[in-house]
Amino acid sequence: MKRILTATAIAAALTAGNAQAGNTSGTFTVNVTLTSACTLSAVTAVDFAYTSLQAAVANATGGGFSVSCTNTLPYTFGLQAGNGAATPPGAATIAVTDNAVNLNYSLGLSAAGATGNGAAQAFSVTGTMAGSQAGTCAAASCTNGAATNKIHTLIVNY
Amino acid sequence: MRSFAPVLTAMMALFAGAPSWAGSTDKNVTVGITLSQPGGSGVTPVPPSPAQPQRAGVCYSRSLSEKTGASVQVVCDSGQFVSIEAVPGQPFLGVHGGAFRYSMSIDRDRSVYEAAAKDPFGWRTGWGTVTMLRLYDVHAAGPGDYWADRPLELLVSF
Repeated sequence: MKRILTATAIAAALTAGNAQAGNTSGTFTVNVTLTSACTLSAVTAVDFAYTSLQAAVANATGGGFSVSCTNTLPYTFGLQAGNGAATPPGAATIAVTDNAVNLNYSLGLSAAGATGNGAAQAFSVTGTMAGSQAGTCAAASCTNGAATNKIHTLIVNY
Repeated sequence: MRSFAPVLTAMMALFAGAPSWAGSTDKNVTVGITLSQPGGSGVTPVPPSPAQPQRAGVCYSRSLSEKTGASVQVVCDSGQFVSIEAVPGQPFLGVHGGAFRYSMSIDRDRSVYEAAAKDPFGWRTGWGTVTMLRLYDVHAAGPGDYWADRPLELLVSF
């Protein structure tokens, strides 16, 4: 009886073992197509506070935005007056006369561009308004809320 | 025959040097402007009280200060606000004559004012047409100086 049990155990062990006759191998290629891209956050409003006929240049506040681009992907910024369809690459600066308060201002950018690093990179739209402008305002103070040319376009080219 | 090869080569180099953007993205930039008047108090003139019903084509004012030389802002039924004030440090003399009418004395009898208001060529400008009020120091400057002899109120019509 003991002899039968031993023989059964050996047979089971042989059955559970790797009984391959041989092997061979091959290689294969993984193709990856990465389409570079950039995403642009919303741009906070560019705000001017101006006193009629003030001597000093007024600098705008706000205008912050961030860009996230593919690692090592270079990109540049451009500005376009108005909010029509973007026509890249845009200009480094734009000059505008607000059609509500009749004040001239120019918009620029804190940087011409950068290289993507996969993370959000912060920049800002800058604004300057020359001094000695009278503007148009029939009250103690006015805003350009009714202006039809107060919205412009920021373009990221990559 | 002159060869165009150098020209073609140069043009190809130019095209090769031009940026070739893979793509672009864009966002709107809103510009907000607040325009204030120099030295403006921001106080908005108010229409007359119900006891003084507003009339079409008439401008109303209220005094912002009762100090000597104070100026006021006016509001017209069109909704436009007008501010007339002297250049700081300069006498306010330029408003006399020309297109302006003025009264050299004040008459507190409203009925007289209202009657005068019906006469566009009357020597008084009617009540409710005050567009600028200039208060003089009513304290006697010395013997023989009587405040009533001074122009206490200036009415401007436009």
